[in-house]
This record gives sequence, structure tokens and C-alpha cells, in this order.
Amino acid sequence: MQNEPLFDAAFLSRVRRLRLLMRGVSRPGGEGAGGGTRKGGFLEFEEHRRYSPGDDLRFVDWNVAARSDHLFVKQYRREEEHSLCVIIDASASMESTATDRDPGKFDTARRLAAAFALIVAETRGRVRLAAARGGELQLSPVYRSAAHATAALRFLENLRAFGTAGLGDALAAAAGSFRDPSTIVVLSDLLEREDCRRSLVTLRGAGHRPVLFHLLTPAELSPDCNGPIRLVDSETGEDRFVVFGAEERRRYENRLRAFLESWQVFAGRHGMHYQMVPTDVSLSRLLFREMRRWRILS
Amino acid sequence: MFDRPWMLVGLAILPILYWLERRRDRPVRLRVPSLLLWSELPERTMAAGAARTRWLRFLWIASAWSALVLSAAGPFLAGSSGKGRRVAVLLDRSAGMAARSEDGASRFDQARARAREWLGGLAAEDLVRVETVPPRETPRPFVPVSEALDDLASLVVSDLPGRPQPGDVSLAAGFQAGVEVCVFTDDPRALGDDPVAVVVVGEEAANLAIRSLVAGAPGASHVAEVRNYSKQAVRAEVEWHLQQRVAGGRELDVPALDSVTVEWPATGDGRVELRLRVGGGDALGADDAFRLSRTAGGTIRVAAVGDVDDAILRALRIDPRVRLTVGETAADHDMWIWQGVAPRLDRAGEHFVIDPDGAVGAIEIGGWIEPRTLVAASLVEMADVSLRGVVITGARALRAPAGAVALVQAVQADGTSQALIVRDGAVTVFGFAPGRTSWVRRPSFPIFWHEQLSRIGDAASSDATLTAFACGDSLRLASAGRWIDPEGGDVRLAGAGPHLVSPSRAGWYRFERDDGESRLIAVNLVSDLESECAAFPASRGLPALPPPASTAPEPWPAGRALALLGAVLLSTFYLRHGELARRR
Repeated sequence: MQNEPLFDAAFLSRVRRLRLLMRGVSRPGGEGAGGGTRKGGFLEFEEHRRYSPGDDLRFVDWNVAARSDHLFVKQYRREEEHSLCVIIDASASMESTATDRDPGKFDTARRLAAAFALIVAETRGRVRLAAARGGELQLSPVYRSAAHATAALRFLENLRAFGTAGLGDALAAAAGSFRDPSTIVVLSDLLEREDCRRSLVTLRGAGHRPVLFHLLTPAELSPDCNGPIRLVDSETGEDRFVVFGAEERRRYENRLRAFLESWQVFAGRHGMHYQMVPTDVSLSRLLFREMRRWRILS
Repeated sequence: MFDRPWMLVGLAILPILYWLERRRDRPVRLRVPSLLLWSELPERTMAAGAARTRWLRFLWIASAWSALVLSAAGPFLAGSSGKGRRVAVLLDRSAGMAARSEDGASRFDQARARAREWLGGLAAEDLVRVETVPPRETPRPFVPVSEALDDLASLVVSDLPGRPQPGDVSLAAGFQAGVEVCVFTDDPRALGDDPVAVVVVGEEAANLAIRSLVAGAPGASHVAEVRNYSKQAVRAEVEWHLQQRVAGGRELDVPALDSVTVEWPATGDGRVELRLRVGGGDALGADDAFRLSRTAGGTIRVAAVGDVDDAILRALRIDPRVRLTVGETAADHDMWIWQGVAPRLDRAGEHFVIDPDGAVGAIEIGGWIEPRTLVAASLVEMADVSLRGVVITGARALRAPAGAVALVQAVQADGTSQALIVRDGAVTVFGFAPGRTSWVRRPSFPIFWHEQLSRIGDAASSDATLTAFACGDSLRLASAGRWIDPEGGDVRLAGAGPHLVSPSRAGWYRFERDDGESRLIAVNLVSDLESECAAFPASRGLPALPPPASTAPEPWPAGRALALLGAVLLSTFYLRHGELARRR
């Protein structure tokens, strides 16, 4: 699937009509008190308030003053400007075998990232894409408009999954890279150790809002195997010999359940959005139904 | 000992079973994104216990399979209580056996009567098994003679064509040693190649009607029995009958021979024209046509009604007297068989050299044509297409029948321009006119070879009607001249023929006519066969059955117990360790 177009034209036009619903993660800009240094965006009238010393006289509404004998200043609000960063786990663990029904984790991640990039760029937001691999971030330029959509798609199409993730270090690097508070969408299988969670907490503390999409394949959710198996870790090459039977299946499912719950609890505790995404759900359904249900897109 | 020893081949599966068992325990390699989710599962190792279990499992399945195979092979105890002989009767009941001779009896009736007569000579305790060609749906067991006679009486002629094939005798005997097989057929051609035939009673009735017509003798007198002869002898017996023909100058009327109508009207000039009208069906095979062609002294015309087997045409074309009036349908008939040789030939040149130790020798037909000679013969065939000369090296090629046939045939291909030179018995160079086809793929050795020698004699003597090389190493020449024997010296043949000369050994002889014409004649008969032919009795009676060779084996009852044991072991194994258990 790599280097192939992520979307066809019809799907692209449908995606462009979507809007990001995560208002809380947009960057509010106020004009007037404390908001005058911000640049960019559009000013939108919000309300009147009484004049107080120090207010900029340019914003005094003289018409209202004439009618009420009081000075009122116009309160403006800068139109919300989405600032979004999508971090894709580009480690070998994301490279799963694609089937007719399941495009695999990495491809799903790339398509979701592309969709987010298109949606935000369409609303003149700021989008940045990043691939996490080996504890580092491979960052794209900032895309600000729909005209940059092609470049964003090309960036994603050229991504490949290999090596180790080191998602914790990569997220820590992200915390240092993004000065403005952003929504940081993380597309990963989250098969990481504790340092990943620490980095997410750090991101949250820096004013960012992480949104976690936990991608898992059907084979991970319910392994289709039986008997003696030599398991090989796709990232480390470490192997483990197990005999997979009914009892082992039960243990695996318990472990998986605990694993997912731990992420859910972690995200809830730190005010992050968390969503487990099975990769065999079609992208169309994800974008146009599930994301709406999860109040992420409209 | 085993009743069906070939079933023991099933034991060869045991290594495969072992391999499958090993493969079954081999872990599947599964690449997972991370071992994180699998960390709760206990890690296993291939413990010694597992290996021991595997061995036990293999022993289990191996025992079960072995028991089944052994029981299927039909074990019996040699020298047990049986006292009778085991005899198999293989009776040809193919459609051709329905043909009736002059006295109204069908070939099948004759064969069955002979079989009944033969069975009558058996003792009461003997066991008989009656098999047929085409076979019946259910093979018959060995039964007492009385039951076998009843079985024999119930047989009817099938409407299917066919004839005994190599292996049928072995099949009738159940591939058991010590079983005597008696074959009653109108066509014993293939039986001689059977490796375990103990007794063969051949009824060479395929040519019965023709021979009786030609010779004016009743067909019953041509029934032949061959007993305890080698394959060469069996074939020689057939050929012996062919030698008894009377050729030339006789008007014949053959009303019917199954689907073949033979007409042989006199032409008024002493020559004979034989017309074969083939009405369809496959009762007339290539060999039949070949034999028919050799019974004719004159022109043979084939008037085809319906399909004519290409093989028949080929067989007839070996005789230069044959005129085909059905078109040259067999023009390219032989090319396919030489495809393996043709690429080795240099078509650009006119001469070809075959190294006797070359790599061509993988071709072999039957057991008695040397590969090298076959190649030599095939070269001659190729020569018919595009060559003018052939060089064949190696004296052995010349000594063997096929090579000799090929050489002689090439010589007679053009009566005026042939040249045959032998140098030290090692190299033969001969030339002939291109475009002539004169090779039969399956020469009926040695008669065909005799025919070719006869034809050389014919060519040397224009006024001779026929020159035949008889069975007793005698060559009948029609012209006066000198017969030069390299060892025995010159023999003067005075006056018009026939003159009989007898080459005493294989080699090259020269016949010089008085007018100066001469022919070099190769005598290459296999000496053993010659002696057998010569020793063949002139009058043959029904051979006495040999004394009982051994006591008949008794089936071993433990065979069934073995089968039961095998079935139980197999089923329990499958239930416990098979796929069923895995799914459960």
C-alpha cells in the first residue's frame, strides 16, 4: 500500500466536507484584554463591555456611547485556529499483513492522519505530521491551507514502518518541539512501556491535548492460531515458544482486556481522548460514522 | 508368505508417517507486533516428554498401519495343510473370440472346451481360479475344480474388444509364485513377455481362418500349445505357424473374419491380389494386417470402408507390393517416434555418424532390441525422408535383429542402386534412393527378417516367384548361382530353384547369380532362438500337466485379526491424537 494514493478523488471531496469538532483543543484568541499580541486569524465580534481605563480607544463603540451615555468597548474574539499535530507510530510493530478487509495498522494510521490533515487544512488550521520511530520524530512542514494538502498526502505516502518505535521518547521530543498548545493525535498500537505514558502526561502538562487512537488488528484482538507457536517480536526479534490452547487463549484475552482498560483509565485520568480502533473497520465508517459518534468530527 | 505380496509396498509409507509426526510437533513461527500481550502465557520448551510422546504416537500409528498392510497382503503359512495345486485359467472372451470357424464352433467355444479338457486332468483337491479377458467385475477366488468348471460354463463372450496383455497372466495368478496359469486365447502375442507365466497354452487362432483357408486345412489342426517356453519360444511358436503358409497363385475366398472381409481373386496371370475390406472395429490390428500382407504373393490392395487404423496402413506399407488405394494417410506416420533422435541429426549433410557409445542409447523397446540398434534403425527411417547415406558404427548394431532388418530393408529400398559394404564387421555404408518408406516399427522378429532376406533373393532372381527362408536355418533361393558361405565355402546351385542353403552361423553370406548379379545377405538370428525353432516338434499334442510343484498355501487366519487390530489402533489413534482431537 505504500506509495499508493491514500484516497481517491471522490473520497477526498467527502473528507474535505468534514469538520473537526474538538473545539476545546483549538486555540482561542481574544481581542482586547490580553489578546492583542496574537497574529493571524479573523476577528469576530463577541460582546460589549464597559470601558475601563487602559482600553484601546479604537474599540470604543461610539454609536452605543451616544445612545447610552456610557462608553462601551467592542469585545472581539479571534476565530478559532486549529493547531493539530498527528503523530504516527512508524515502527515495525505497525506493519501488519493487510487483507481484503483489514488494511493493517500502519495503513489505517496513515489514512486517518491524512483525513485529519485534510480536514484541518480545509478550515485554514495549522497541521503538522510526524512519524515516530526509534525515539525520534520525523516532522513534516506546517501545512496551513488546503493548497498544502497534496504535500501532506505525499509525506504520508512516503512513510514506511520499520525499526523500533520509542514512542515515549518521541512524544517527549514533541513536547519540546511544539510551543503552542496543540491537539496531538497519536496513531499507534501503544505496545509501549511506561515511558510512553510519562511523555503523554508531560505533553498534557505543557498545554497540549493528546488524542489517542489505539490501533489493533483483528489478529491481535483474537489470535487465529493453535498448537505450538514460536512467537517473534517484530521490533526486537525476541522470540518466545508457547503452546496456544484454550487456556492460553483465555489468558491472552484477559491480558489484552487489562491492557486496553489500563489505557482507557490512564487517558480518562489525564483528560485525554482515547479510542480503540480495530483496523478491520473501514475508513469510511470510521470517518463518517464512528468519529461522529465519538464527537471528533462532524 | 503372502497371497498379495505387492500390497507390502504400503509399508513404504512408514517413513512418511514419521515425517508427518515430526512435522506435526514443529512450532509454527508467528511474527507478532510485540510480545507484550503474550507475556502472561507460560513459555514452553520441547521437553523430553514431548519427544517420548511423539515416538509413542509414531509407534502407535506405525503399528496400526503395518497391521493393515500385512493383513491386506494376505499372509499365509507355507507348507500348511493344503495338498492341492493352485491353477489359474485365463480365458479370452473378447469380441474376437466370437468368430466361428468352418465347423461352426466359435473360438470361444473351442477355447472353453480346451480349458475344460485341461481342467479335467486336475485332481479333486486342486484349486482353480478362472479369470477372463476382459475381466469380470469381481475377481474370482481359488475354488475346487468342480466349481471352476461351473464357473467356466457360465461364461459368455463379451462384446468388448481386447486381448491378453502383458501382466494378465501374473494378475490371474494373483502374482503368486507356484500358481500355474493356463491361457486360452486367440491372440497370445503379448503373453510371452509375462515374467511369471508358468504354463501357457496358446491357441494361435487369430490367423486360424486365414491359415486354414490358405492351407486348406481345418482350423483345429492349427491349435498350438506351448509349454514352459521362454518368451522367445512363445513368439517363435506363433511365427512357426506363419511359416506354414502357402503363398502365391491360389484363389481364395474368405467370406468373413469378424469385421474384415478378405477377397483374394486370381488375376489370371498367376499373381494374386488380396483385397482387405475393413469394415470398422478393431478386430484387425496392425499385426494382423502385417501377417495378412505376408500371406499374399501378389499385389495387396486395401480398400477402406470407414476408418482404417493408421497402424494397419503402416503395417501394410512394409511390403513393397502393397498398393494403398485409400490415400497416403500415413505419409507422416513415423515422424513422431523419432523426435527424440531427429535433433541429433545434421539435416544439412547427407551422412550421419552415430557413435556406438553415444548418448542416444536410452531408447529401448521390449527387452531384446538393443537401444543402439534401434537408433540405427531409426536412422534408416530418417533416411527415407531426406538422407542419401547413413553410417552406422559398431558391429553390435549389425548383429542385432532390428539393426539387421534396418540394413536389409535399406538395401532393398532401391533394387538397382543400393550398395552394401561391410568393413571388418564394424562399419556399414549403404546408399539408396531417398523418399522411400520401408520400415515397420514393430518388426515381427524374426519372421520379418526372414521376409527381407527372401526379398533380397527375389530381387536377385527376377523369374523366381518366391524365395523363403524357412525355420530350420534354410534359405530357399529360386535362381541358379553360387552360395558363398564364408566358413563353409562355395556351394553351386544349379538349375532353377528352389535351392535350399543353410547358413550355420550368424554372419554375412553372398549369393551370386549366374548372370553376375549378387547380393550380400546377413544372417543374424539369435542362435538360441534358432535352435529352439529347429527343435520345435513337428506334431504337437496336448502337453501333460507338470507334477504338483508344491503344496498349496493355506490362508492364514491371523490376517483378519491383524486387520482388525490395525483398524482399532488407527481409529483410536485418530480419536486421541488426530485432527478430531485437536479440534475438540
